[in-house]
Amino acid sequence: MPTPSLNLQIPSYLDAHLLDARVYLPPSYTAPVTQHWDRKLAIIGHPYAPLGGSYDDHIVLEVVKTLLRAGWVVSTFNFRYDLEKQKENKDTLDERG
Amino acid sequence: MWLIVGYYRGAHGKGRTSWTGKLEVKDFVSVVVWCSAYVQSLPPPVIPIRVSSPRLTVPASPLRAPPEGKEEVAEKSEEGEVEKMELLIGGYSYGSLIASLTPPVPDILKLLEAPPPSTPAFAKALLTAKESARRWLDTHSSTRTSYSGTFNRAAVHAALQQEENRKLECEQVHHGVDKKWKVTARYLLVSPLLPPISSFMMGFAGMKAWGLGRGSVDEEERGIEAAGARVLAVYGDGDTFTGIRKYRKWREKMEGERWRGVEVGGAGHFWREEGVMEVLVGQVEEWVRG
Repeated sequence: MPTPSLNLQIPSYLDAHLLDARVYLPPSYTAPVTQHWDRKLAIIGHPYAPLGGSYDDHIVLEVVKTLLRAGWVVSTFNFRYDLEKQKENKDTLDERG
Repeated sequence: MWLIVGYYRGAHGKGRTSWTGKLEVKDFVSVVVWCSAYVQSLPPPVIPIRVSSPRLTVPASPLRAPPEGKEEVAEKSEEGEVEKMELLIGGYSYGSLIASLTPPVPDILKLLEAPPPSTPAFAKALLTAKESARRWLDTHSSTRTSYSGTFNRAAVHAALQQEENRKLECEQVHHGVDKKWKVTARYLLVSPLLPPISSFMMGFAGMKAWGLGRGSVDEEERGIEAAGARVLAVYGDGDTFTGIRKYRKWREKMEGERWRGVEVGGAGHFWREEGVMEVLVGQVEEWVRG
């Protein structure tokens, strides 16, 4: 699993809701061997949170690793996910049987 | 089975759940803006000095040569310096759906120039992004000395200082306005969700996401539809969320010079089948290096 250079919370521009985020810097930045560095930034969204999706998803991490190898700075983050509301949904379904 | 309820509410847009994707698009945009501020402010990486190239040089900024008969200073103040950044907006499954619904990149980056005054926390976070990126070299000096090869720290600092002074001069000419950026955008979609499942999740927006509902009430622009945007879509032919016939029809409709679709035989939505992850990784790697 790649190690993030930054673990942080980024406020949403909409309502300042804090989003857990990671920033990975590529080896071409942290241990450069040539003098050329392109600014390349990728942000990768994770699968559906109610089904367990998060920035720990293994396919997301595979994509992160691939991008890092190719010299991209990569960021992943967790979509906001209201556990209470999901619980409500579950309860509603339980009521319906 | 509670998942079905979530879908139902999403589809009808009147549930209590926030999972209609609109907030998630804004979350995605917020992260794009913050990270853009960070990456644009990162100093060029420090290169270990090799015997063959003892002089350290900070990469020259791509200043355009002034046209003849015009004073350089005047040209500089009009054009400023233009730096390039590539931006990839992508995701897997639901993440790719949200990625595809983000607004055009120039619109996203307006939030970087002018963060909404209603959310001071966001504006402050952008300042922090720039500040912490600029300090990267200072805070990571210990790890840097461990690299193979040697480098002259004084030379590095002198070069950076020179670069900094030049930037400062430039900024002064521009009355404090940041450098100009040319940002190109591309989109990576891994196992994207096509209708009907995308519309269950997103309501009408999910239908619109893939250009299947043009001319609808929802006329918001998407970055993925911009003329210059490159797109790679990779999906398995055994995807349980979106059938292969739907994928093929979609690909036929979308594919072009900048839009590439890759169907991976034997792969399901979760890429657990033998050998398929390697194909996915290989396809993505080739495309992101190109």
